[in-house]
Order: sequence, then C-alpha cells, then structure tokens
Amino acid sequence: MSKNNWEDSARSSVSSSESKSDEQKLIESAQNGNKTAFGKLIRMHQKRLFRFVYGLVNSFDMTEDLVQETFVKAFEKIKTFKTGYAFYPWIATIARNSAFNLIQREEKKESLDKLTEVGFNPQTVELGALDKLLDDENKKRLYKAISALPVKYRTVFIMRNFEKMDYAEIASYLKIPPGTVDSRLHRARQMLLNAVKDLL
Amino acid sequence: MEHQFFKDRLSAYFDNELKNEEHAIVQQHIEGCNECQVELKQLEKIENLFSNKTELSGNDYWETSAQKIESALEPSPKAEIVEIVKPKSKGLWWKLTGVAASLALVALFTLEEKKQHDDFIPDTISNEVQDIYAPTPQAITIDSFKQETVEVTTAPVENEIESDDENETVTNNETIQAPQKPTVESQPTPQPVQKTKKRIVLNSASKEQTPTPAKEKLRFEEFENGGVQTSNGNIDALVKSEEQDADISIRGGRSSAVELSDADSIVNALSEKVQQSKDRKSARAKSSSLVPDSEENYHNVLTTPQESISQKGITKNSELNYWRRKVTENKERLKLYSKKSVQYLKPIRKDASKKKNKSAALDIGFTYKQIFEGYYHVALLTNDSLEEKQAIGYLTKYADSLTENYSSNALYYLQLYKTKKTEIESRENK
Repeated sequence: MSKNNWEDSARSSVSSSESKSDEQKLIESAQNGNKTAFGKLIRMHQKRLFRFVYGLVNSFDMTEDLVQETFVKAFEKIKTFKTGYAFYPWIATIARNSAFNLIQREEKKESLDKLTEVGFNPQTVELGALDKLLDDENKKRLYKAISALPVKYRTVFIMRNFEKMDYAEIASYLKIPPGTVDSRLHRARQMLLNAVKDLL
Repeated sequence: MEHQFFKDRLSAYFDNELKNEEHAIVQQHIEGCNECQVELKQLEKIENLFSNKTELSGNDYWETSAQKIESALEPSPKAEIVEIVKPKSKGLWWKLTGVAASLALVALFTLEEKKQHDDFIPDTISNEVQDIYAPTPQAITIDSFKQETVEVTTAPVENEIESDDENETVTNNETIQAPQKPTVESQPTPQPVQKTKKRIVLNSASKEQTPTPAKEKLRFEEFENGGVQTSNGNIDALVKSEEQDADISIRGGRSSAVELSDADSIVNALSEKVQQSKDRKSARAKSSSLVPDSEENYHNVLTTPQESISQKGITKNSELNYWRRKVTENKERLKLYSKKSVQYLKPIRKDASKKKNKSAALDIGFTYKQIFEGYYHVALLTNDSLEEKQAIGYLTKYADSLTENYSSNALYYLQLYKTKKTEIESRENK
C-alpha cells in the first residue's frame, strides 16, 4: 500500500525532458525488443538514478555497477512493465532494492563507529571519481556533506529528499518505526545544516 | 522544555507528516516562536538546496555510461521467442477411446435398425455450399432439432462404423437440449444434462490450454454440422466426460424422442438427408487435412502456402466463412464467463496458486487466442486493415492474459503473421 503511494507520488514527480507520451512510446518499443528505444530511456533517467543510488551507497564505483545492473534487469523484465505508468519509479525501485542489499552486506563489514554520527566531518571526505561530475564547488560541498552522513541518516535523508518518499514508506522499507524515521531525518538535517550553513 | 518538544517535531511538521491535531498545535507554537520560525526556514532551504543543487553534470560521461549499459544489455527479448508450447494431449486419447468403446457396446445391440440413419447429419446445408463448410446455425429449425434428437436416441451405433458421426450425434444431442427445453413440455431428465454441461465447460479450461488433436477435430466436425455457438463446451463435454456422461446425454435424447409422434415423417426426412450427407462427407474427406487439428498442425496451416490450399479445392469464400465462424463462436464463448471471471485475469498473474482463478484465466486466454486465429486468417485473406487490427487486439489480450510463456507465443504468432503478410503482399505485387 505504502509502496503504491510512493510510486504514485514518484509518478507525479517524474521530471523528464520528454513528455510522458514519448516515454510510453519508447517503453512500448522497448517491450518489442527495441534496444535503441531502451537506450533513450537510459539516457532520460540515468542521471537521476545515479544521484539517488550514489546517495544511498556513497561509492562511485558501486553506483556505476548498480545503475548498470538496474538497467540490465529492467530490460530483461521490460515486458512485465505495465504501460501507462512512469518508468522512473519502477527502475528506482529495482535500484533501491539492489542498493540496500549491498548496503546490508557492507554494513556488516564496516566497523560500528562508521554507523554512528561520531566523527561527522564533511571536509575530510574525498569524492573521488564523482568529482568530475560536479562542476561547482558548492555542489562538491553538498555531496561531501551527504557522504559524511552516517549510513542510517543518509539513507533516510536521500529517500525523503531525492525521491520524496513519505515517512510511512521509508519506515516500511527500512523496517523501522515511523517515529525513528522522523528522528533520523531530523538529525540528518541538523547535521547538514551545520555543514553547509554558509550556503543557505 | 516545551520548546524542545516542538523543535523535535519541526522536521515532521515541515514534511507535513504530523496528524491533524498535532499539526495544528505545532503550528500554533511556531506562530508565536521566532526560533522555530527561523529553523523552519532553514529546513526549507536545506530541502531546496539538496533537491535542486545536486544535479550532476558531465555530458560526455553520461553518453559513455549509456553506451556501456547498452552494450551490457542482453540480446533482444524477441530473439528468445522461438519455442511454441506444444499442446498437452496426454491422456485425452484414452478418454476418447473409453467413450467410443462404451458407445460401441451400446451400438452392438441396436445396429440393425440404425442402418437407414447411417449418415445422418442435420439438414442445414445450403445448396450453394459444396465444400467443407457448414451452414449458419440460424438455419437450424426446431424440426431439425427434434429429428436430430431422434437420431441420437435410436442410432448411437454409428460410432462403430464411423467415429466422426458418433461425435456429431452426441454433441448435437447435447447442444440441442438447451434450445429444445422451452418448446418441449415434459422432458424427463433435462437437469442432469444441463448440470453436466456446465461443469464441463468450467473444467475444460483448467486442464487444457491448447487444442488437442481430438478436440480440434471434433470442433471442426461440429462446425461442419452447423453446430451451435457454445460448441467448445460441447466438445469439451465429449472429451472430458467419462462413459457416464455419455450415457446421460443419450438418455436425454431418448426421453425427448418420446415427444415425437410422427415417426414415419421423420424416417422420410432422414432418408432424404442421407444422400446429402454423403456428398458432404466426400467433400470433407478432401479438405480435412487443411483443418488445424492440433497446435502443431495449426502452426503448419498458418504457414501453408496459399497455393496449396487452393490446390486442395477450398475456395476463398469457404475458408473465410470458416474463420469468421470461429471468431463468432469464440466471442460467444467469452460471454459465458462472468465479469468476475474476467477479473481473475489480473490476480492470476500475482497468485497463480488459486486454481479457480487459473482455470478461468486459462480458458479466457485460450479463447482470446482462438479469436485471434480467426481474425488472423480473415485478415490474411481479405487484406483488411480493420480485421488486422482486431487480430492484433485479441493477440494482445491473449498475450496480456497469462504468463510469459503465452506472451512469448503471442509475439511469435505476431511475427509469423507479419512474415506471412509480407509474403502475400510480395506475391500480389509480382
């Protein structure tokens, strides 16, 4: 139920350079096996998807892999996609599932102090390969601030801020109470506010 | 302390996630609290900043990335669609054999008096139609119904001689029950027959997804005899039922025969029909190889060059007639399903474990396919774009109705249709 709500809201917030009917035509064509049409869909949505996935996994290489994996999966399952719906929420769901599987695996490897807010210091964060995709110093600061967030705050913030999911949806997806979503989001915002106060 | 309480709720307030009462209370506090107002504005700025100012740049990178993803895509899904699911006819021949054997036993006792009715087929054939295809169902009169019923009661023996006729008589007998009911005053056992039929119609879908050779042949035979619209149910009845069901059908016919008093006139009418039915049988023998009697053969018929069809003496009109009748029959069949059943198509994809849903969906999907087949051939024969649209429409419904296997099949048929059409067009151009 909550997922549907999220999909509805995401559907309405789809921002694509082409109109929906164009997207629908591309989807239908891709469903008939047209790789060129699917290539256009990739170009329409990959930037937004990349930003979302990077926000979750906080690694350029992993994001590249996950985005590629997402589109490959989407093409394999394109026939099951219901025409008439927006394409982005669907691939975002695929990407999110893959990203969280990865995060759960990575969390187990990381030491506990990385999962807490102790040591939140955006200035020490290295963006690595992402640096070349950020043409502005302020943008780099914003990404550094996001990257510096502990994973439990970062995921909640990204899902809310980038994908406009509501608390209930985030809660059901992360299997945490809505109240915890509220407190984590509140804390994430406080930390980001402190990090980029001069940009406001 | 109170201020901290509201401050903790500012984030949820900003996201409009508080309950109405709580929202109103927090709002009331904010209106009178400068610190909270400032923080709320900051939340708004943070939201906008991260939403709008975090877009990525670097166009070259995205193009390269897209190309990389494209190269990682699997080959087109179309390429995988080659295999056709073959019909599951396992066990059907055994059932048919059982029915035929039981009828043959009955036949032994009544053989002598049946000779004159040997080739009985309802007299509904117009003189214009000389080949394989039967007259319209509307041409069947109440009298012919009655006569057929008599035929069934007295001559189930024919089966021993010709199994085709056996099938015709039994199926006709059963289908006749429904129209005859209102006209015949005292029919002793109409209910059991009716019930049996209903049950069989439902069950028929659950066990079989594709026409078996036996079923398809019977369907065609019935079609030839100007069978009624709900032919599939009748065929299913014959195929599915055990000896008991067959007996019920025959008893039903016998009981209605009691209603008929003028036996002499019936005998005369029958003798006139014998010659006609023989003519039709010979025409049918010529053309039977063209009738799709199984999924496999259907495929062959689809790919049979037009020349070979004309060589076998089937006219274009009669072929058109056949396929149009098929469309009509199956559209009627669709009506048998309630709206509720059609709705089963959606849940079936999610929960295929529900047997009831599955059987209904399977049957509806199969019927869609039958209608597609009809339109498919009509479109090929007439080169009519409207018919083509109809064919593709029903093909889409068929593809949507069930699992991926079926979708694959549907796409395969579509491909086949396009190829066939191109062939025909190129031939016509020449």
